[in-house]
Amino acid sequence: MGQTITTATFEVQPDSAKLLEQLIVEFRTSREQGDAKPYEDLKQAVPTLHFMSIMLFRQENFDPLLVIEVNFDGPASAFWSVLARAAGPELTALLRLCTAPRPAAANKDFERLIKDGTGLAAVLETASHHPTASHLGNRGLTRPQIEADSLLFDDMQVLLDDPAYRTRTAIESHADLRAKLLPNHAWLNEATTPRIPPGEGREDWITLALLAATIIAVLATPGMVLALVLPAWFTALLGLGVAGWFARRVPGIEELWALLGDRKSGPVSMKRVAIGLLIFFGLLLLTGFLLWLAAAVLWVLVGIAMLLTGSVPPGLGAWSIGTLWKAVAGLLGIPAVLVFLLFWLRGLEERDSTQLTPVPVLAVQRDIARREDRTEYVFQNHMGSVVLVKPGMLRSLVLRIGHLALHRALRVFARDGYLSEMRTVHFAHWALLNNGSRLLFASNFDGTWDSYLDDFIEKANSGTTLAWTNCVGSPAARFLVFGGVRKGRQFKAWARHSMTPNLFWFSAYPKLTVNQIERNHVIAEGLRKPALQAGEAAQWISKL
Amino acid sequence: MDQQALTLPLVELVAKPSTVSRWGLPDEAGSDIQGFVVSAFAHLPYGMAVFITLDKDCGGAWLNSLLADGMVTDATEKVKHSGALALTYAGLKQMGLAKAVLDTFSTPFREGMTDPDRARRLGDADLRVRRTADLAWSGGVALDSDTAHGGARHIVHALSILYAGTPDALDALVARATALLREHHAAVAFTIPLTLWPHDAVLGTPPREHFGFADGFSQPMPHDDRKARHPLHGVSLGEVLMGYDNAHDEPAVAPSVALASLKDTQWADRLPGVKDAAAQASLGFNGSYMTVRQLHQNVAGFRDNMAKAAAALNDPTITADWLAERVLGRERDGDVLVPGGALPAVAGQPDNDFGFFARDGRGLGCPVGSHIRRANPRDGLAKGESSRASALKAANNHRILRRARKYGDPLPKDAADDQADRGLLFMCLHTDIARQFEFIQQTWLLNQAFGTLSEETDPLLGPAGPFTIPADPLRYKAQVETFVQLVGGEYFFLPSMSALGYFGDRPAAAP
Repeated sequence: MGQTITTATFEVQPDSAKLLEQLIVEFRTSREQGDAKPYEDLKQAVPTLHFMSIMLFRQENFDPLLVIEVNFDGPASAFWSVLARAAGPELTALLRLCTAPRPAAANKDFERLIKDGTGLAAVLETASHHPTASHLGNRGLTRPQIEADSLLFDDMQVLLDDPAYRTRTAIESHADLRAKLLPNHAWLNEATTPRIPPGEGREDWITLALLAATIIAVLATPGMVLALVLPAWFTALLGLGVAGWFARRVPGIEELWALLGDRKSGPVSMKRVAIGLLIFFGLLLLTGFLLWLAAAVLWVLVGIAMLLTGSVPPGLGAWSIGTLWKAVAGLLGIPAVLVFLLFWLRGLEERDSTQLTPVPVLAVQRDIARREDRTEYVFQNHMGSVVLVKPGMLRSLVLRIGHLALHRALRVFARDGYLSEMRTVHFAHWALLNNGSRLLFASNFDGTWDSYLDDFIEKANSGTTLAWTNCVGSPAARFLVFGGVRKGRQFKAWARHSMTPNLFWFSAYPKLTVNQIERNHVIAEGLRKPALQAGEAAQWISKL
Repeated sequence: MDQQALTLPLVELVAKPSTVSRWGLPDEAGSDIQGFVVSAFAHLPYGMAVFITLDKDCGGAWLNSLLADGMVTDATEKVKHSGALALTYAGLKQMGLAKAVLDTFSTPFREGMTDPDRARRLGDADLRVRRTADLAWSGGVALDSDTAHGGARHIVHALSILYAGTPDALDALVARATALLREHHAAVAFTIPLTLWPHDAVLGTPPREHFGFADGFSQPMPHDDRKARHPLHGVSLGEVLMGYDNAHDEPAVAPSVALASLKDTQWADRLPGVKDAAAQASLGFNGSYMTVRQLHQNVAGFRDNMAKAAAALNDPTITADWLAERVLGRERDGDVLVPGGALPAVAGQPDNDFGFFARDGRGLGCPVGSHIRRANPRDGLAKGESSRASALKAANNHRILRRARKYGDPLPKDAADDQADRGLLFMCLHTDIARQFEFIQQTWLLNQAFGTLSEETDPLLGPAGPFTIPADPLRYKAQVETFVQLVGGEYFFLPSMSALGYFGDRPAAAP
């Protein structure tokens, strides 16, 4: 089953922000104090919920903003009504302090909610934003599964205290443990469904390929349009000329050339050039294939039309050859378009201001620190941040395309819990708010905030730079992916400044890291099998 | 870099004219850097940590008198006695430094080690790992108020660490310092005698820390030039000295003072400017921040628990020594454990140029949760072979220069628990307290989910709990007790010689 990340946002009546904060804190303390296990009611009432946070952003450039972030199993439509049943009065009380959403349709639902307290789910759903880019740490593992795997692990640890297991072979231990655990964990005998259904996996690949092809088709469009009025050969030559002219004027273009070399082979590594060309032509071929597919469909339609009408459109053959040349001219024009865009982008990057030393509001920083590392000897933490998006057409486009590309690439390449080399992120997402003028980031991760940000800085810097470089004040990037967050201290100061204390934060499994969840699952999967081969068993038992 | 590691620096980093040049600095820089930065003074086995309190608005006369008397030595040459001097934030306030200057110091330094949020992250809020509920000493001043907190019995304003070749020479130094302080509105609050060699007879050779392990082999090797760095232990010079480029390729942030306030004084020329801030002069250049933690070691408890925990594992091949070595990650002589034994020594010294990933990825030799592997995971946290280099680089962004010495008398073998206070005065240098010391303590040592582990902390420094020792066919899980407890601690600022001069020149407030 798929997991969903979404956030509902509401504008807060400015005078009520203080009261709203109190209500959120009460909502939290009522779940954290008292005799019951913390958050037990929420945990039981919403069995699909993994994480939930309620944040109140009070920043100098907009009125207070209420953000309700939820990560859960299954689709959003079913979820909101379950949450509304579980925490209806509390959430409604928060919304009473917010202003009615502007669009009239949503307004009606909201008015009804304020008046008679009904229809909360609809209001939340209308106010929700879907991520522009996101990452799922334990993709495809539902909360019941994670919990079942964890209980199994705990029971197994008790059994393993018996030193007899040290004298048995791995195969024997597996069989013995399975026999002992099966009575209390009967689900081990049930059939499994793949974590990522094959259809979903294929869809990820196809979507990524379509995205790449679309980007190339769009980049090829100027050349094709030009080729309509100019001879194709002339368009192609013009494209190359323009590319050359602009290439010399892109600030810092050497950095891109440097990518062609590496430490071993000097300024130009044939391997890297070959890989670059392979990717370039691979994408061209892919686009060509998709265009051919489109053309084939067109031809079939034309054929059907011919059969029906019994006539051949005049000049069809010549037209198709000419079209082919125009398409080639368009593709050859891609470097010119790309280089021009880089020239434009680098101009912006050179002129954009940064905020390297934001003046911290001490009270806010203190509140953030207070709410961090709540469990003794760190397990999980939460980060919520809102920043402004840089203005302008190119920034707006680059942000959306960059996030889309990042998102689709993560769906395909980050399926084993690792984001680059970091396996600490449960759910993380970016979402555009307020007509794309602000960018929200919310993440539920393992370890400390500092170690999380260090991972961004040291291990996932290109992707992180791409995600945030279009936001006001972010550390200066080059070509969207160089520089940027690598300026570690500056990035941390900027990110810290954009954060808000997490007033309410729920984790369904506060003592399980992404790594431990994967480990538990591998162990459970092994135990599902009635018997293991020798090699398999050795692998399996090393996880215990 | 076994942080907090029960440390005896065996590699002699004695100050010679060439020492600073080994770090890529011109020889002249040695006269501006405290000798303590480049040397552990291994040739001076007798040491004394002198904890100082200052009168309100006392100015810098006390400091000037120590400087004039050669109580703080620089990094130019090997000398017959040495001294280092460091200040707490409370001390800087007490001397009457302007708020504008105080505000330029880093947040962790200003908040202090006993700040509730920092204490929680360092594990210090856990009473199991505190010697007493109230700390014996700290700097104890909150950032946003002047109220003392942390409940320490002594508020420390400055720390002078004195080193000498003989006990008599040390006594004379301490007596002289005490007298000088008394003359200048300052006083010695308490002292801790530090020892290096003298206990060989009791604990064995090579010299060992109280639990009986030779340690302290792993130190970062700073160099200003990226290309000249050691492949395994090389770090940016800015990781240990302010003003130079750090791991994030920017000058390590340093405290500073407005140039305008230095007008018509010698300091306008003597303090260097701050890069990208034309109006400021640097107080941090050639200086560093220093973490100091007095860590009590329960030696009898350690020996007793190792025997009991080893027996509880129900395996006749397992001895108390075997378990103790796994807790540390090294053999008693300092050789790191590898599958099937220990890494052979090189020229009589333990070989420290190793990684974990290739030889011992699963920790069958040196357990993943062992003290030295948590304190410096090297390349051990890599996802795979291809990310080994980046894992090492990332780990090296959190290294510290260790300068610890032990205190207290050794507990002879087989002796009963005498309840005496003995342990380690852990001292380390770094420019970014949060990214270096605090990160190691919180994210590596005390992290319940370090590496592939779950629900266990450092077996040596953490509170009582399980300790996993990977083995085939099945791991061992030993139950270890609490052995190390915090007695007192604080973050200090260890200034350059010229910045010390500036502080010494501060006038006392008019009565």
